[in-house]
Amino acid sequence: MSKKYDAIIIGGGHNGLINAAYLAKAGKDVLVLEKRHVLGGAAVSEEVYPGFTYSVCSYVVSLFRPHIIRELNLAKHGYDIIPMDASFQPLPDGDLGLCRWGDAARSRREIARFSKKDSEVYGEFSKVMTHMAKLAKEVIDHPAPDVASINPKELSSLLRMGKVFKNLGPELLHMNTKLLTMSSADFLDLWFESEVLKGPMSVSGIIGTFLGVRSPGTAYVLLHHYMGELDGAFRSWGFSKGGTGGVSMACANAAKSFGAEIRTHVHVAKVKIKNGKATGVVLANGDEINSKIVISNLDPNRTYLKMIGEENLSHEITAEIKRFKLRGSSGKVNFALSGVPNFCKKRDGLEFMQGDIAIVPNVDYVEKAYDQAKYGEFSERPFINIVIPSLTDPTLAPPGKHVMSCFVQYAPFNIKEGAENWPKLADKFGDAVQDTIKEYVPDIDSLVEHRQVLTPWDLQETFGLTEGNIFQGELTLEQLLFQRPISGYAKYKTPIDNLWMSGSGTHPGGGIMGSGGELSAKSILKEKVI
Amino acid sequence: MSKYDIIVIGGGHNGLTTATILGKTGMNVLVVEKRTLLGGMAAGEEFHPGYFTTGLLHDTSGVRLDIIKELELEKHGLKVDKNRANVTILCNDGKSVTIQPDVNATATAIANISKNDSVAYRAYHEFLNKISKVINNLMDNPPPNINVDNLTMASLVVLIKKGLILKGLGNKTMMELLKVAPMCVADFLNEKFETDFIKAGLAAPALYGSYAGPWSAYSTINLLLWECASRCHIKRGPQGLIDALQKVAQQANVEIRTEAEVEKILLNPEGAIRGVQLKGGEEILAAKVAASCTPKETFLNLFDPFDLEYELDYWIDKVRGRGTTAKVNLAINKIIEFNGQLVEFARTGNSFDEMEKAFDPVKYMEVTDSPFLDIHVPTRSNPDLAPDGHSVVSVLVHQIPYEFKAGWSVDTKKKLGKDVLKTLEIYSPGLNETVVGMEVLSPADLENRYNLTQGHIYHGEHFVDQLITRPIPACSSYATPINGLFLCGSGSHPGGGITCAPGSMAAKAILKSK
Repeated sequence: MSKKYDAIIIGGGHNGLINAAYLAKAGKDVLVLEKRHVLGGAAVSEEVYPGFTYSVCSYVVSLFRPHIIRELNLAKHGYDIIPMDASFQPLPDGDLGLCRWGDAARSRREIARFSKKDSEVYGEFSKVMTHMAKLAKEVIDHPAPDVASINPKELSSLLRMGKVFKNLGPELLHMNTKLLTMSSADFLDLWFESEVLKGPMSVSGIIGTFLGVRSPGTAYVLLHHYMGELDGAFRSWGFSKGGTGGVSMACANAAKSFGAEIRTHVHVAKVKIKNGKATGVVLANGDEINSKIVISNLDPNRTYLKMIGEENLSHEITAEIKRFKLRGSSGKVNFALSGVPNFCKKRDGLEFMQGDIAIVPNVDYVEKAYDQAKYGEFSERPFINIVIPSLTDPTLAPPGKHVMSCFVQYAPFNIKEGAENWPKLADKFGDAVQDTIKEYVPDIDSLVEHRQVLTPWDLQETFGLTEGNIFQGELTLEQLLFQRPISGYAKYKTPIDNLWMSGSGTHPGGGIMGSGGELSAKSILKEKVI
Repeated sequence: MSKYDIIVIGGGHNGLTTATILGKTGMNVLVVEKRTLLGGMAAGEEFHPGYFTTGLLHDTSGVRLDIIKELELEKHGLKVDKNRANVTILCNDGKSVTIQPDVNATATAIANISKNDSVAYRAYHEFLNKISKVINNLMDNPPPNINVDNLTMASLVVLIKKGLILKGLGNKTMMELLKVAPMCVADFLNEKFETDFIKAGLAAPALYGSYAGPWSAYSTINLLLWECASRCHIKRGPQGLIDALQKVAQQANVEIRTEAEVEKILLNPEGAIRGVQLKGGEEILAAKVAASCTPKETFLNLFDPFDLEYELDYWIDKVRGRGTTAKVNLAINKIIEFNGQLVEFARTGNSFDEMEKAFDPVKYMEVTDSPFLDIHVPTRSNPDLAPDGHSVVSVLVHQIPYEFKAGWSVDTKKKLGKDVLKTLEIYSPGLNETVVGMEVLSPADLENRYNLTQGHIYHGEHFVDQLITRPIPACSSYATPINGLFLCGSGSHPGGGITCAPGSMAAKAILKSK
């Protein structure tokens, strides 16, 4: 008779590892199973090309909840963030471009080059957004209240949320309605006039969604930019030392220190279900491992349709989960470079490139990129968000050389040719990205030693993200809160007893937040199911 | 001492509704209308000698039956059919489907095209029937006060009641409504139907007057509002409504002055309403003014900038109302058919991709070559509108931006007219040779003729943040921060289109304010 664990966690992404750490800390006997040879899921560092460490998928850290760092003592386990101080937007024709800095006065001076008025309202805008972001955090740090329930507990949690909104006052409440519903371009139009400024600001609203900056509902995502919280300071983003995988390794080390067992190269084929209850997992090689509960860190589509299987679900639930929209819209291109790619020769030093670099000269540019994607093509001139983490963390590349990580949008999963034909287009996609960069860095071709192209198809096949959606499901209003992933099962539970969820496909959604793992573990412990 | 208790600015259907309800209570009411004819966007007009339209807008399905009853409009010549009119969805391959008030008949018609869609249509209507109560409750009552600063017990009760109505749907329907409402209309209908042109035709009303394509989030709300709120059909169209309204207004002793354009709203030293000043200088005094023109026209054009509090000025300025509609009226020398059928109302669109492609250029201030059309053939039920054996084809052309890089001129309008004819030709081959007269109204023309800010036919977009708290929170209950000034037009809850609802609810708010 083999051992029976308290909990088996499918998927060793950061949420799964955090979940494991919390459960193990509470004295539970936990096993984490990861299909790949490395831990971290989409928060992973890999040496794809000798000497260069890529943050293969996720490339910056900002939303990670500080209380998780404290509660799991992650700093002791290697969690180390290098803050990003600059956000640079190069412009064609050798212009100085626009760099926004951690120092607000310095940003305003740069913005004034494009619009004096904008530089004046920039501070006010940040103030309002920071205020709203505090509100949003209230939502993120608790499980989503169930609006269908009349259970007093649920009602009181709804009321608590209502009270936060009430305290805003009418002006901000109205602004909040706008923020939740408008397009990010329209929302920014309420404040700013300069296209150069609005361009890079507006894209914060579309990262990871299959929507354009003029699509309603994207303004809300702008908040994420103001929610980044490092050491308690808003609006700060950073790189994990040694690549994004460092975050996952810290989580894994914490979990191990509390006694969790973690195995890689273990492919779970299915959840073992008996009489409507999960009793363990079945591996691809046929082995079975038993446990009291199972926690899936996979996206909702995979969890329901592959791990559980339609045969164990009602027609209604199957239909609901099939409505859950994933539609990946982005790709990733990682470069190993023989030298520094200079995005603006007119600027002194390299400080302006130590944060992120956004290729989005104006609002129309990125909207046109979206228009092309709507009809099933990748954008010829995409929005690219670039980081060169080796400028601040030399351990990532050989001396004098650099890694450059490019997040590219739009690359729709469902292309005209059919998603399975993405591999044939990968090179062309990579070329489009390199050619776009060439407009700012003319000598880029000669610097490239190696290029890794990840299409949405690769994100699905390699990282298990269905349809290549980096957030395990679109962050549109109908898929948030009590409806993530489907209504009735938004509190980390599933229709199968003893099967729980904890990934980005659950409330509060994607990004390296850790909230899914944390809130799921806390719910499990609260209900004393193990 | 002023002669009038209240002056209503604008003699459109909402202005007349407000005036009549107030007049009936014995108030002295004056309506001032800029144009020579009453009715605003509901006024029928001769656009070519011997050829008439029944109004700029032609959809009368949303007129509130309660108001018809309350004002006894039927006694004054209004003929109302308590069913929606048939609407034919045209496909460019020659197929068409007629959406009829009877669900069974429509399902049968759809079955000729697709069995699946026929079943889906029934299910779709079942869902609409379930939620219809909630939506109509919203349409027929003043918006709940969500101004948290002075949340009174009474307004809290209203809010809770609204919540209970929603809960009364049952969990399943409520959750479904909450799920689909924020969706884009393409996702919503793609989940149900399979035939492209049927989906496009059903979705079209969600996009009328919207700065949105079928892939824009929240467009489903507009579709649900339209589907649930449209329940009737007025014979002789909007003009028929105006005729009846004018009669009841007269009976209620409402004084109406046409060719009286308000230049300024006058305030007394305390900042309260004193009256209006017409173009030409005449001052008319009254302690109350109800404005049925757009909120932006009211606050930004009819007041001195220094009269307004900064906050009010700021928020009104931020109201979005980017016009996306043009109008083309055609005089045709034969009885016109579309896809081989005699129709009164028809829609084109063909597919979500085509509709989205019509919207794409709007974002860059450009104009599509292939707009989608909302076609009205008023002569089909009312042949008197044209010479014997002739037709009027009155087309609302959607996704034509007010903000147009090339600017609206004789040439750009000519091009627009040509593109519309080219599109119509697909559904009615030979139409071009039968055109004897044509009028093209660009969004800029609509702005000039009807005083529509930016040419927006609904006085401001129907978008989530501009519903309920319409146009802005401080003015969402028809009263405004200016003592004695009320809003009573499409810019107020529940919004644009021919409903008479804002006019009626504003009148009630005015009566309550005494």
